Amino acid sequence: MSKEFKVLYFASAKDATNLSSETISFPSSNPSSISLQELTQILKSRHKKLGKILEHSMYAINMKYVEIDDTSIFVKEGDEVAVIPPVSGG
Amino acid sequence: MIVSELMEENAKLLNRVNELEIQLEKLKLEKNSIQDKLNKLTELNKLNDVKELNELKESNELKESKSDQNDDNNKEKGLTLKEYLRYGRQLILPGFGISGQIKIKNSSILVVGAGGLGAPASIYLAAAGVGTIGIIDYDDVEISNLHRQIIHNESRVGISKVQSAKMTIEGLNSDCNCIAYNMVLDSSNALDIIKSGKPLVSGSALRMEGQLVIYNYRGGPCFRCLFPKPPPPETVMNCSDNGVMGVVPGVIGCLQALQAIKIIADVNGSFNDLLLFSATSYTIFKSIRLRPRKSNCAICGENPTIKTLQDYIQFCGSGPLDKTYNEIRLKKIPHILIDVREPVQYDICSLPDSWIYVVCRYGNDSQLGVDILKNITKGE
Repeated sequence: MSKEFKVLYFASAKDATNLSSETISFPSSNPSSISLQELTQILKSRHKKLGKILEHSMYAINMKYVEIDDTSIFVKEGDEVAVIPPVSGG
Repeated sequence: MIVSELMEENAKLLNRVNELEIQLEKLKLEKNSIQDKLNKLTELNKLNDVKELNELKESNELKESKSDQNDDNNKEKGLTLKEYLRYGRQLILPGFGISGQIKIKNSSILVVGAGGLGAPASIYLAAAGVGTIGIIDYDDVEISNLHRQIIHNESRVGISKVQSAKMTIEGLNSDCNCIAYNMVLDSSNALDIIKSGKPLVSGSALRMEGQLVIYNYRGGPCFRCLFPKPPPPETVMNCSDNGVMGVVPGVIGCLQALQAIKIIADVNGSFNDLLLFSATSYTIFKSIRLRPRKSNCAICGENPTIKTLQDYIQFCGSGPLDKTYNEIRLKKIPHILIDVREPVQYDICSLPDSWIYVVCRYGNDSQLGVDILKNITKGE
């Protein structure tokens, strides 16, 4: 069975994907861990409308904030990635 | 016979009268003793009240004289007797106490926006005993605000939001010094506030979701640290276009008031989290642990590159466009309008020309045309 990670979508990311969460299998090229850059590419290819939103969103892995350009961070099996865009309004 | 019988009866009755008189005497004694006890207790109670009052007055005078001296040094004011009574339930909290109450009494808070978040936040801050609350907003109260902006009411529709908010706050707590700023907070007046280095308790609420973060506090991040890139204009949403469940900003606004009070009163707690609220999720609250501020942040980093302010409208490049279509309608310029909004919006307010009519001689070709159009819309 292929290894998986989970993605949670908030606010406009939720609207763009029509999902509050989904489970994604690791690509065959990197079957057990992916960088944040690869994560962005995978999410973009799955959801066309998500591309622009990802450019200004933040990621959190297992409820901890990660810097989007941090090359030392990898998404591993069983991780929970949150996509959090800024929310306006009130 | 009759006389003797009557005498016997008389004797019995006399006996009974004696018995009752004795019982009456006993009850009178009992009553007196109870009355005595009652009198003593009442007296004692009165004494206690006076004693307590005197104690309160003494401690109060002490604190007031202390605060009189402190006034000269521009320091904290103590609590008055009235305030002890008013904030009693809060004063007895361990970890808050009188010192916490004195701190919030001597604090001033600026509430930016008297809307869905600012309304409950200001109400709770005033109720809690914050000494000075400034409220800044440029807008007037509209009937469509009232489902969430609970600081306003029907009689205030048409007046400025800050005036309305001030009226509510002064009615709730006459000790609160509420300052109304009827203006826009923008690049021309915000820089001094930002430069003061005060923590910002930031909240947002839209649809069924909200966020809460404290920026610029105890080495935590600023907004730019978390979101370095401005959002593209088409993704910037507001309540009037996208809707908001009234209670959602209510929840977030209350939490903003709570966090502000915790910061001022130095109450323990976690301040370096991003709280995500989602009314429709299985877990309504989620908390994301944040990093300290970024050393290379363009604003709060070691070598900041951004030192002036830019207005949000220019920053995000968004502005209202709905007026253009109104002109087309008024001038009766021939056109086809295709309404591509979501059904929930279309149901509330559809425009009369947002229909496409397909005509032909017998109805067969038009049916085909309708099918083609339907398939196109489905394909999207």
